[in-house]
Amino acid sequence: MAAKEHLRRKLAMAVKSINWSYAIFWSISSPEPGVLTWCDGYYNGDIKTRKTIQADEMEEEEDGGDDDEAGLRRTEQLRQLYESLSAVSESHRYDPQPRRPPAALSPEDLTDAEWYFLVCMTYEFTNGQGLPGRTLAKNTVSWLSDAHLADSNVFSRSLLAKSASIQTVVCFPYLEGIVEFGIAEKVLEEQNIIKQIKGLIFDAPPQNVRETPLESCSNMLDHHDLVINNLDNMLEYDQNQEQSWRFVDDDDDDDGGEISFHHNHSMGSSDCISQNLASGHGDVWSDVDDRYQCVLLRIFKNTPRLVLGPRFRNCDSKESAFVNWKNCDGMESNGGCSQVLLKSVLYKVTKMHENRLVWSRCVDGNVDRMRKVEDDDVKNIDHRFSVLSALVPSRGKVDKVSLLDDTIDYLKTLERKVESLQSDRKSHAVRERTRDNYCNKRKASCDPTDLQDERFSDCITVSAIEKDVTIEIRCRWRDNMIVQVFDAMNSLNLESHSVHSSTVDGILTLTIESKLKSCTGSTAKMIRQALQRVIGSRY
Amino acid sequence: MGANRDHNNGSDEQQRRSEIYTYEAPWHIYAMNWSVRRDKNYRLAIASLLEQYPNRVEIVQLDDSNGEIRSDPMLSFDHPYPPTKVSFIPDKECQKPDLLATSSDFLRIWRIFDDDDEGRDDDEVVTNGGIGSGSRRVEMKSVLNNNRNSEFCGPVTSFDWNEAEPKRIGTSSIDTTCTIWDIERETVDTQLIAHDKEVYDIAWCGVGVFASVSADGSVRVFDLRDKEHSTIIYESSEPDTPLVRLGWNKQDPRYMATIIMDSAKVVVLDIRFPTQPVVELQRHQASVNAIAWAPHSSCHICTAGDDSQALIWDLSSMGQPVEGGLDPILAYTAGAEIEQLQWSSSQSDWVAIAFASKLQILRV
Repeated sequence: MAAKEHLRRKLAMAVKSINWSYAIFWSISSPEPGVLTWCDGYYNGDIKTRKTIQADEMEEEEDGGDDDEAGLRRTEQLRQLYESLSAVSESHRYDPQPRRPPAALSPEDLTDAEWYFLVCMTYEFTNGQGLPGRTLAKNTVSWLSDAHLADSNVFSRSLLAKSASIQTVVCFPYLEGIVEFGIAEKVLEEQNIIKQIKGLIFDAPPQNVRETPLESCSNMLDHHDLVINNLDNMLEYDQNQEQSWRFVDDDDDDDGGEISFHHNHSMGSSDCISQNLASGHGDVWSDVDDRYQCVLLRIFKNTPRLVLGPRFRNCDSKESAFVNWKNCDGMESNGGCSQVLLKSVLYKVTKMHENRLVWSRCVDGNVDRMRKVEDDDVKNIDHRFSVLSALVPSRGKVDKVSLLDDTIDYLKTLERKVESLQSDRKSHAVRERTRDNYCNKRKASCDPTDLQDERFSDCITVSAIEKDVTIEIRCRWRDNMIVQVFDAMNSLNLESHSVHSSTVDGILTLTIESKLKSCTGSTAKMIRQALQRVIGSRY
Repeated sequence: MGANRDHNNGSDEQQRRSEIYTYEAPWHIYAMNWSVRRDKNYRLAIASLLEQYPNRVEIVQLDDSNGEIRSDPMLSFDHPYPPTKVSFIPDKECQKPDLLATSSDFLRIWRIFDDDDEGRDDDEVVTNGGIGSGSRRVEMKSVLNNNRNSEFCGPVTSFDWNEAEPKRIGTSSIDTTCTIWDIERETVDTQLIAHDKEVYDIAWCGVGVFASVSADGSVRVFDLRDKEHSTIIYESSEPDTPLVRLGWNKQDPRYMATIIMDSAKVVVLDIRFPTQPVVELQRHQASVNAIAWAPHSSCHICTAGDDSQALIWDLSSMGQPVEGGLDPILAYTAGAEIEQLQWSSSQSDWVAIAFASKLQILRV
């Protein structure tokens, strides 16, 4: 690991010195000989969000040691993110997703260039395939100036590079692999840069690879002149040839001789190459699509599409139902009630439960607001339902439908009774004197005087709307009746606030408006029952 | 009821490829939610909103093979009064029984027997309200009713199932209280008088912390370890303007969002900075009806309203004020006012909306 760390630091140093976006080292993998895979890298490009364990933010400026640490940490985080994403994609779908540590990156934190860097980790190249593969095969430096426009045969990650705006990619052999650098700008080929990179990388070699560069360097120095001569020839010869890219025979060089004279030539030829590349980009996407999509699908199989960002959201064949938002989309509301169902749920539906006449505690201040939004119709109907429920004997269920059913049954019963009564006028008429919820029939002996007044019957009506209770009593007057009524009401916790009474022909009509003092559970039934007892006690 | 791959109001190309599945119910849908269990993907519960005593709850499932959403007649059941909310147990790993909770006059827990070999287990199950014979059915497991013990017995406006502690459900009621239930023992853990007026919504964050919104216009956070005190996080700018819905970001517990009555604005709050909204999302052209945070991402939220639009917003730049207000990143236009919106917590690419009598599930 020390070697790895060292390598990464060297890559870091090298890429920062030329201020490029990233550096990658592709090495020949041991399990698969001849295949280049991602070994190490350093990311030096734009960062969207920083996630560090410490609370303080790191400065962006190049600050020597600190910045190194930040950059290395970032690269490490990107590697961890890749590993967690690819681990997730292979795990059994029932396994719980490993929870990433809080300081770890999640996909939405990355810029496009970081994405590119991360996706590169999935690539492998056989000998001769792709830019690194070919570089390995020919053992020379490859410089690709318009990477994002390149043919997929030339540069398989060109589509990826396009999304990340990586425009220039350079590869050259190093040890048992390929070092790759990239930048999000178009940089024309410059030997100085290559020289500088190499100088930095080979400068302080780690222990176990010390031998190799020195060896190869000495070899190369020998036929350095030869190479230069060859290069001259090549330059003259290849000016107008259609080539997808150009080799620069520039072998491993120690901090030795200047090859500055290459500079001028290479500028000219790289112009030519750029043109070739630019014209060749045509329609390469179809070829590279499969490979690209396979790669993405492999990594992102279990990652939600939304966090992948706008470019990768539709990378599989399933399209989203959502479209990008544009201003002035959508329909104007009709200006009527807003949040109709929501309000219905909060107000009407909850009121439905109250029709069961179970007292619930409601705060007074609300009543106004609730009535404001309620339909007047509903309010009136509810009121009438509550009066009806006071008149009709219920059979247990007290919702509106059952109430109506009970009313129907009750009316039928009454009709039958009336019929039987009318057909039975000679014998004792059993008249219902009091109507109440329990269907209690009072059999009273027929007072001859009562027969004259057929319409008369005792009547107690109790109607309740929330806490307001209205009591109507009509009965034969007797002494202390009213006092007794009020006593009964007191014991039921009813506080009367308006009384209207009149006595006509010995018949007392009493109308009392009252309020339930507290949530005692008194129902209309109980009130009626109690008043019954008061009034009926004269019998 | 039949269902088919629906067509969006867009180009032909989009229609053919975009993933939208529709189910048409025989009644208006209000309460609706996704199933969470991993072994039952693309399953939802929908409930009717009929102003009468008998209402209906159906369990529907998307059939992958033909792209249709089917309602299972063996798993449909009657429900007293329209449910104000319906929710499956948040048990992704299928360790607990398949439970469904509904709220109306009381909180009711139902048990779903969905597999043909299930139902003969040794659990004591209340057979009251069971529909259908045979092994596939929904049975009422318990009715959680606190009437006898308390003078507070109002109907339940909403509830939230605690994901960290699935035996705990918090309910909000118009009697100004929030009740915390232990559904395994079927008892009340605690009952708090949360607000001065009716409580309209409640949301958990963690094992013992929840927040509620009320008609008094405030968002309050409660901690069960200190029941005497609550913190007011936000109060609506016009006094006594009710706040009707609340959503707490499960991925980033600092943020919650709330809907104001009759307002096209969604207010996003940071609990570290009370009274000061972090951002106000103001791109709906009519009042907002529902909000849902993305279950997998700490900075995405979806909102839907009476302008028939469902909008997805990216709030990662929340700290920095944006000129002219934040714009959403994605939009979907439905055929009518969207009344309900739920983002699937087990399939984070899918969002379900309910409008008129239709249920639609959309791929994000």
